[in-house]
Amino acid sequence: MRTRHIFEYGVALASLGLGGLVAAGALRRRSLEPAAGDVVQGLLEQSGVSSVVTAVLLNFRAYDTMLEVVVLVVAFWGAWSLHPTEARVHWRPSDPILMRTVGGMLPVLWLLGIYLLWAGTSRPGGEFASGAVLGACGVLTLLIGERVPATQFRPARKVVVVVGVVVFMVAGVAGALSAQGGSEVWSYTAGEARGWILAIEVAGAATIAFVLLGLFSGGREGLDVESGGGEAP
Amino acid sequence: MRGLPLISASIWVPLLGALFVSLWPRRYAARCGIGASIASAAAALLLVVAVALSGPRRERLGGWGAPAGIELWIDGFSALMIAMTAVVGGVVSVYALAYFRAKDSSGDPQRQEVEGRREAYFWRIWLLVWAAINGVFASADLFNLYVTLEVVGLGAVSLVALAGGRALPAAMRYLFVTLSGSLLYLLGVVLIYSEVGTLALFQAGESLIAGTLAQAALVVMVVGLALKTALFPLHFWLPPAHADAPAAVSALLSALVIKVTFYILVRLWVVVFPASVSQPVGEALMLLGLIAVIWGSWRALRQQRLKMLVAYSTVAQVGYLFLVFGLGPRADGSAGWQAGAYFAISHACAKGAMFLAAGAIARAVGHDQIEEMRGVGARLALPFFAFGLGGISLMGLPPSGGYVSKWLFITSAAATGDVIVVIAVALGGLLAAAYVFRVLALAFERAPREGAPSLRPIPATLGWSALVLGAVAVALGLAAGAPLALLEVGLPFGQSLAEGVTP
Repeated sequence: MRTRHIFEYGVALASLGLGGLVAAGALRRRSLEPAAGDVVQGLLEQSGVSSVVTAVLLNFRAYDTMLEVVVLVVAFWGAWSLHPTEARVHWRPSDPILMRTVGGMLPVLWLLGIYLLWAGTSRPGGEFASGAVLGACGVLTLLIGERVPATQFRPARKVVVVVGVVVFMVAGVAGALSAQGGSEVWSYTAGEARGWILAIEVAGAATIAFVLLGLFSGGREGLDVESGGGEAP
Repeated sequence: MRGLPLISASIWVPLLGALFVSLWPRRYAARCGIGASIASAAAALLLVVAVALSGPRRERLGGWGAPAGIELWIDGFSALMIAMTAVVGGVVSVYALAYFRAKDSSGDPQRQEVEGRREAYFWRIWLLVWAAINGVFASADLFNLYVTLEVVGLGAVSLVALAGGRALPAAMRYLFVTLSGSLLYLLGVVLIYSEVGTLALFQAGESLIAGTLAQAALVVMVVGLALKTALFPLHFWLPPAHADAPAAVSALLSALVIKVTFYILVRLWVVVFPASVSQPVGEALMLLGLIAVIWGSWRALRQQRLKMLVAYSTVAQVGYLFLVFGLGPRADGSAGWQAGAYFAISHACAKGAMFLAAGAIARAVGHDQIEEMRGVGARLALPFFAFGLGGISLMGLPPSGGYVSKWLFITSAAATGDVIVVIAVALGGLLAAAYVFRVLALAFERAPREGAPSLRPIPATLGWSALVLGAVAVALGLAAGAPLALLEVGLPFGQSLAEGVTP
């Protein structure tokens, strides 16, 4: 017990010290010009979209975004590789109030998610925002005891998990093949970029939404409330 | 070959392999996985050969170039690390083929389901981790390093958890450690970006000036990355996580995953931070490294379980790695840094061989209690021989990779007058000899007449793949010329690193 306390106090002191140091550093910062943000503003014309955030996420730093989707995929696989819990969750018949309110809201939420996806090219939104809303739709659907369409088919689940990364890679290879002078991945012109960005966003939103849903269901097969055993994807 | 995106290929091939493996039914996982591993190793070696023949390579992803876009950069140091990943990763993949396949034929369907799941998920997660490790070595962007580091960390935690049982609490602790480490690193990146306005490694290094902010950024990054590399006294999570994971995973973690954070630290030291900022921190890291060498070896000597012994030996060997932050900047030329890089690759092969051998031995004996392995050596000659070959490199006996790197350490320490480093390196070698011989002596004692342990048959692949890695660790001492020449490509530790090549 005592060593545990010493450990906790040690960690607390170390965190305080680091926090103080970071604060001292942040207060003394000298912002140098031009920052990468200004450079990006200047290049926005060539990116194929008019939203700065989307341009950075899906064109200038597309590689980072692809790896962020990979982070979600590895989290999903990591969670589903574990033995699903033996403990049975006690499901009771859904509350009529929950059914009515959530049931009524779901179509609107679906529309909102799709709108956010479409809005991403010109204003805040995009695959992560849309994926989060769609994933929440899925969670609510499970909570009222309904099944999320198509998730009971294992091939569909497998494809949805990877499609967000695969489309990214296809776009990268296409960019490399069409590039003039050199063969850097993702180097396409502003005209082609718009189409690819849209494809990446649609596939990415599907993967993000499904991964969030899958993490919620925690490896329980079939992604619905009744099913127990079976095999994970 | 100059125009081909070989750097991206070395990352994309294992990534695509992981996605491909996941699409097939479980019973094909091993076949697809080994195919993808061979392709990944080939892609990596192609890149390494290209770097060795025609110099450093740069890729501007999307054609933007820094600071708007992300750049990949491969010089001799990163090429050597990618080669290390390909060799160790390739051999461990072959080992894993037999390790996860050799099942109890008891016919218990629930057990078969668990083992099938374990095998299927091992391959896809390991290939993703491979892609991310190559991604770290190739990256020339501070934020991109964070993202790749996160994939490596989460993947490594999932791989540890595959063992189930007592590995689960170890994996949970590892998860907290790896996330806190990455977040501390990210905090440092935010501080640097707020001042210099760029995330590109080399540009940040050109504009960052000594001051409170640089000092704060360096300290948080060092704490985060030292936590993930398990430097004493932040090593508390490593022994259970590395010892309780499946043997193939233990080898990957000890050989490769901890080198990833070490690599980032070296890059930060050489490229990003001004010497006046990093000098005092480097001295402190060297001191902690010295303590780690002695403490880790001492703890290894006193372990009851074979895999725990090997894991504590990793704590000691991490100590040697951190000596470079004191020696590297002071030593003439790049001898100190080269010692660290060479130590990293020879430790990867030696420790990989020892964990693979320990896994094979534990599989045959049915447990990994050292005391109860009396007299099993003669019947398990192959894995014990591999264990001994790895041990030779840990002790630093000639001819081995460990000998070459310790010789580089000692010459650069002698040149700078750090007598204490010379003593600690020698003492660490002696302690390593003590814990390696303790195992070997017990194993090759005459078996007790009563109650000699009965052995289960194990696939020959397990012993042979451990032996191959052990042989590579020894060969690194016989043919040190080629790796050291590769390390010179692009002068990763010289002043000219930022200019490198002009494309």
